[in-house]
Amino acid sequence: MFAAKRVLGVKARLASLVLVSVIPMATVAGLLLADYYQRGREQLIGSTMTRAQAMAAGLDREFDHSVAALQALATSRQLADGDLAGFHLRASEALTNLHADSLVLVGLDGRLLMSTRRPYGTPLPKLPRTPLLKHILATGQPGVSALFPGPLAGTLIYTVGVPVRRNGEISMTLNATAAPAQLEGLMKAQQLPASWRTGLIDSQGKIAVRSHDSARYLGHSVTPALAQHLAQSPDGGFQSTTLDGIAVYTVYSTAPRSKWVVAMGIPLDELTGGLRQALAWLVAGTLAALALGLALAWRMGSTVAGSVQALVAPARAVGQGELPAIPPLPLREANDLRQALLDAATQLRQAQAAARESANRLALAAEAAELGIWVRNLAEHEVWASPRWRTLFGFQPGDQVTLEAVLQRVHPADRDATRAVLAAPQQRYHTEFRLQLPSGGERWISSRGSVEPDARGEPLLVRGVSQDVSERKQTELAILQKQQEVTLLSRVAMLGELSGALAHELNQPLAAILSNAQAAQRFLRAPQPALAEVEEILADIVAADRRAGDIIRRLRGLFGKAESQQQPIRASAVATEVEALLRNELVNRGVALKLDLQAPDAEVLADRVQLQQVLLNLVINACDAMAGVAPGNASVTLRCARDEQGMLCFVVSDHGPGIVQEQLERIFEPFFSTKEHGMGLGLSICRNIASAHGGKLWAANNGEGGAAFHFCLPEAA
Amino acid sequence: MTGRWVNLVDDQPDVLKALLRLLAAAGLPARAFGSADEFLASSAPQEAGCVVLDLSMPGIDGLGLQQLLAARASLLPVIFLSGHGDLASGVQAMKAGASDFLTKPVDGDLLLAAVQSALERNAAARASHASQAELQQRLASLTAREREVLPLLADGMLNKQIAAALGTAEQTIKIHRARILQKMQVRSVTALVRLMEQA
Repeated sequence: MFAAKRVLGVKARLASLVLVSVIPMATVAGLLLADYYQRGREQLIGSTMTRAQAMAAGLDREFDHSVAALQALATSRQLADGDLAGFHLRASEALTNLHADSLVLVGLDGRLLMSTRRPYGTPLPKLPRTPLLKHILATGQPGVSALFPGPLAGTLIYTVGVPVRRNGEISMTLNATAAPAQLEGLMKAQQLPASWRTGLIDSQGKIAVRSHDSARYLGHSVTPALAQHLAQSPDGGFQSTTLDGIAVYTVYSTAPRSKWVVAMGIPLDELTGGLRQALAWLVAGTLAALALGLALAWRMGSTVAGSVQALVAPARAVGQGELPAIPPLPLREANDLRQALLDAATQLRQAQAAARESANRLALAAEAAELGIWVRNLAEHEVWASPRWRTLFGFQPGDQVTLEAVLQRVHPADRDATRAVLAAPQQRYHTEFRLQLPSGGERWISSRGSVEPDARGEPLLVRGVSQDVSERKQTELAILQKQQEVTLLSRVAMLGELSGALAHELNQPLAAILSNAQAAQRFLRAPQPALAEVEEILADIVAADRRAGDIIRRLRGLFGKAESQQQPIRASAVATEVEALLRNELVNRGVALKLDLQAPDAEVLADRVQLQQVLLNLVINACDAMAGVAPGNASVTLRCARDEQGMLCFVVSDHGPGIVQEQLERIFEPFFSTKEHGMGLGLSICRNIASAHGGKLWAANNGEGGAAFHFCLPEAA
Repeated sequence: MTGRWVNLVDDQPDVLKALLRLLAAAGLPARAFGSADEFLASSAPQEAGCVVLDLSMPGIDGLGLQQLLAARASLLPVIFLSGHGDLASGVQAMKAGASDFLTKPVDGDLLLAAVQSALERNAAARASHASQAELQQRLASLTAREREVLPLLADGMLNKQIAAALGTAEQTIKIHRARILQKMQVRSVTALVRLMEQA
């Protein structure tokens, strides 16, 4: 509904559907119609051209008929004898069989020698122009003239002439003259539609016969358009206007021999009238179909829109948890939707009831578990908190709760870390911190929260629960302290076992110091003391003293504090220190310790003393394991190298009897020991130390006999 | 006395060096060995002197070396130096004939006294060993009959009594007696008896 301005309604959509259906159909029909008419028109023009050509041929045949008759007369005896009077009589008789008005003889100088229009002997004029005579004299062939004013008839006529020869030489021409009306029969025989404009045109482009107003246009020049086309081509067709102003399509054809022309004009009205009418029907039909279609679309659209709109208000009501009454609707789909709305309303009411019940139960559970509930609105910096939460954090019921006010109550030592977690909370977080209560005293709080994002995925709300975990925390701290004490005690106990060897180790430099000092005393008692020797002795005493100091410092470290202090340490250095601490013990036990330091520069983040403790433990255990091996053959390898996972691993391996498969894990359990006087704590504490450093400690049997302990730590970055 | 050495065996170079100095300052010729093997490989075990041994060493330790020397019938007296007063080791060492058992750090005078005493013991032992060898040589030159007569003579029996015991003439025994005294290079039976007590 909120995008109604830009979204089309159902009525508009149906109307466009009607338009889209009807208009292309009508367009295609129109195109087909036009195509059909174009073909019809071309066919008509083609057949008209055929008729024009046939008529032109008929015209030539008409003239040929006259030529044949004239040639027969030209060979008559009277002409051969020069008996023109006799020939006048003979010609007058022959005239009835010819389509001609008169027969004349024309002398080579153009003078009329005889005419059937005048009795023989009447003086006759000389022709002013003699184009036909010149043609006959030039070619020796018969010919047809264009229209010209007949000197005797006084009207426009044409003539067909043949040469008359005497002794092989042309002596005169015999001509048949005729008014153009003589040719009307030829045109009528074609039975062309009355509305058509047809004309016969002489070889000079003058109208001889015309289907309409023949008398009026006799001798007129043809239209300039036709004249132009005639000059270009003997046959053809074009669209133009006739002399009497009718728009036509003109088809013309020139007779091959006489060069007279037949022109036929088809009125354009006839040529395109049918098309226009058919198109008019088509348009009318299309408009009617559109009107009907749109009316139907409007009605159907109204029904659908009405049904949908009738459901809008009830849908809003359902959204607000009401159970609206909806009357049945005139559309099946809308009715389905109506039923769905009614069902949804019912389910929503049930869900709301269930949610209320769930909220009540949750509140009860939170109260019973002493959980403080809070919701923080990140945009408005407001915190809503349950009464239990206020009690936990020491806020009075009316106090305003803000993040800053909460942080002010957090113990200063925990405040920065807590601020970091709460100010930019992760999706789900868990943090623990101490509170300093206004009433004095401390309280440990465990706080869990989850962030609820808005529509754009930005954090909107943080919901969470807080709980007083002071008791658990104190227990944990006590356990940690105990663990550290046990670790220290175990170390001290181990050093106790080593005390003999360690004392011996310390004895070496002391022995060297005493003997050197007493030697010096003796040298000095000599009558001439060897002072150079004494100086050398003193330097050795200083060196031995330093050595003793180193040993004591190392021991003091091992007896040191219980608290763990992690710092980056070179692993190989720790291995070397362990070797130094155990030197005498190893000699006493007849065991050789081989160091194999593969990563001399690798560092681990660890408590140096605890690291030494683990390695001391493992090496002493390895020596114990080889109690049965002949002295001189017993050896332990302490290897330090990176493994495949990039961890830095110490591997302590012996070649004693190995470990029973079932006990590979059990040996790390507290109070489990395979030794006669073992406490069973050493390995368990070593494993705790490994875990506290994020590392691992495990045992395995070597393929070639003996056991190997793997102590792996993450390498310091 | 020439060719008399104090042999020091210890795996600690610092201690060896200091002890060498102490002995040198006291005017005693001393030489140092870093391990039991090094010492055994040298000619020292057959020579005169004594040996100062560190009890705990890598490889063959002090007690081990003591046993090896005994097996080779070395006459060198052994003084043990121990890092810590391990009673069990001390007892074992003394039972095996150690000359002394001292703990580190050792007082110079104490060590020098022990070394002096050991050197004297060695000298005596070597001397005793030499006279024994001489006596054995003389005994070896006696005939089978003379060797039968010798113990009876040493017991103080008269010629007549010996002749009776061996079933021979008194005159014969008399000749044997003169031969024995001559071969054993003594002038009287009393001197012979003293000599035999050493054997």
